[in-house]
Amino acid sequence: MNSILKRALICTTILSGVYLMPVSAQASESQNYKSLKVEVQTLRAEMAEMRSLLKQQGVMLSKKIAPQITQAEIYALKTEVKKIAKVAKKAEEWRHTNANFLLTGSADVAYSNNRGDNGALDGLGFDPVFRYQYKDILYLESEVEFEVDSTGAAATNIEYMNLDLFLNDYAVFVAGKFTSPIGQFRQNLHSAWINKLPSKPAGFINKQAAPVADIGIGFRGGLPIANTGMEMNYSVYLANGPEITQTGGVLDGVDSDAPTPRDVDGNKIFGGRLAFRPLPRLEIGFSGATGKVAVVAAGARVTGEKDRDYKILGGDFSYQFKNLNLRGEYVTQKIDSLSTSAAANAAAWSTYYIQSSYKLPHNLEGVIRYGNYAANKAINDKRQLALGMNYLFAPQLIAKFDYEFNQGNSGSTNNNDSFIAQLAYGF
Amino acid sequence: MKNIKTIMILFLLSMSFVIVTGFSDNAFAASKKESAVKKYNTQKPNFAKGAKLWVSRCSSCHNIRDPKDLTDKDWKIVVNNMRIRAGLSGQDARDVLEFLQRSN
Repeated sequence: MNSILKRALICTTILSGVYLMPVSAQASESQNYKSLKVEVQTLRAEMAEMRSLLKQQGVMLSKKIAPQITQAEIYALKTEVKKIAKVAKKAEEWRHTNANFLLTGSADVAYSNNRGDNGALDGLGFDPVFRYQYKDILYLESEVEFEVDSTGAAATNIEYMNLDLFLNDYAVFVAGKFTSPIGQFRQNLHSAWINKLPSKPAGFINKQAAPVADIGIGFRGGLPIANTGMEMNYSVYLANGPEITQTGGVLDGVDSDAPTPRDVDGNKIFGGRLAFRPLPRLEIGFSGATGKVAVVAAGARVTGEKDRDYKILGGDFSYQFKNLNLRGEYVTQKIDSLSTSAAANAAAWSTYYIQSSYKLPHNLEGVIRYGNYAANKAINDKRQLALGMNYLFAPQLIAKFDYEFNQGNSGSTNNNDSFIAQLAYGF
Repeated sequence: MKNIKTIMILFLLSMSFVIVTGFSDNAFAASKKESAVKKYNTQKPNFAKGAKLWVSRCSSCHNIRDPKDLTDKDWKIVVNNMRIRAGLSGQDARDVLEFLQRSN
């Protein structure tokens, strides 16, 4: 009995447990549900509170900003923006105009001390260049030269004035007075801020070996040479030509500055320069011109004087390698003999120079130039070795100091050594 | 008289060379459209090439100036002058100008 009772008790207990387990599970689920419900209700309340807070802050923000921007301030701001837009439009206006203008040029002041003379600030040059451009068709440039000599006399000259028409990518038509395309110095290097020494090379002054300028027409341009990677540039011209005079039966220098637009002897000359660039920094040029000239005096052909053959031949090169700049030129002018002329003999003027410059640290630049000019009259011959040191305040603002060892005819100024200091500015 | 004729012949030959050089692209263009494209030089200016030319061509004559020295308008006028003096092609001039105007 007891064992039966025990077994019944155990079973009842087990069954009760089994029966009661879902109930307790239910009870715990109910507990969880209640706690979750409470939690959700709490969260809802908190969210509602947060929404209310955010709403209040939004109102506060808008109340903070709005009072500080008035209608007057908005109007002032709009006016300012319009002004700025106008200024910006004006700054870009040049892109939409047909004609534009620029004034450039160079200026220099020089002190020179020739052996046997007193030193003096005797170099004063101001060369403004006027540049106009009309669309992409026409370019007008003109350089006016103002000089004051040692007597205080002022001289004015139009160094060049030409109208240039851009025909295509490879050709520009040039008409007017232009610097001589023979060689490189006269055309590209003579400006005070570009010339690395204060003086011109021997033989490069008017009435010496190298022609200065002429009045005529011509074509210039540059073009690549097929697919070689090399380039060439050219200049051809037809011009009035120089004037020649004679003194004591000997031809004087060839006056090639073309100070007045005239062709006294009625002859034209044809010439040009052809240059090649086999490497990006090496240029080799060949120049020449040919024509007829006649002896003139007082603006007219001398009676009885006939035409004589006139030739120019020249060669030049320039090369850059890192800080080294090397260049040289040779040019000669020749006039044939004419037995019937008052100055019957042939005449020739020739010159060459070679120049090396090297950029040093601290904006310094050392320059060496050797030149040899052989004139038609030997008394005017000159050989020169120039040693220079330049200080570059800026690429276009240079102080030059050079000493020139000159060798000429004994007793002539060409035989005097000289020291020159120059300040040159390109604007 | 004979000399004047020789000179005129030489000059006319030079002009012919110039004209043929300039318009040869048109003469041998495959089609009218290609001819028009070549005539108006639609090659885009090249900044990198312009920078190289700035160093190699410009420095052959003078110290090279800071691009910031001049405005875009001024550089256009200056570069056109340099094109004439230095014998640059039109494309070379446009490349150099692109470099200068973007660098100032």
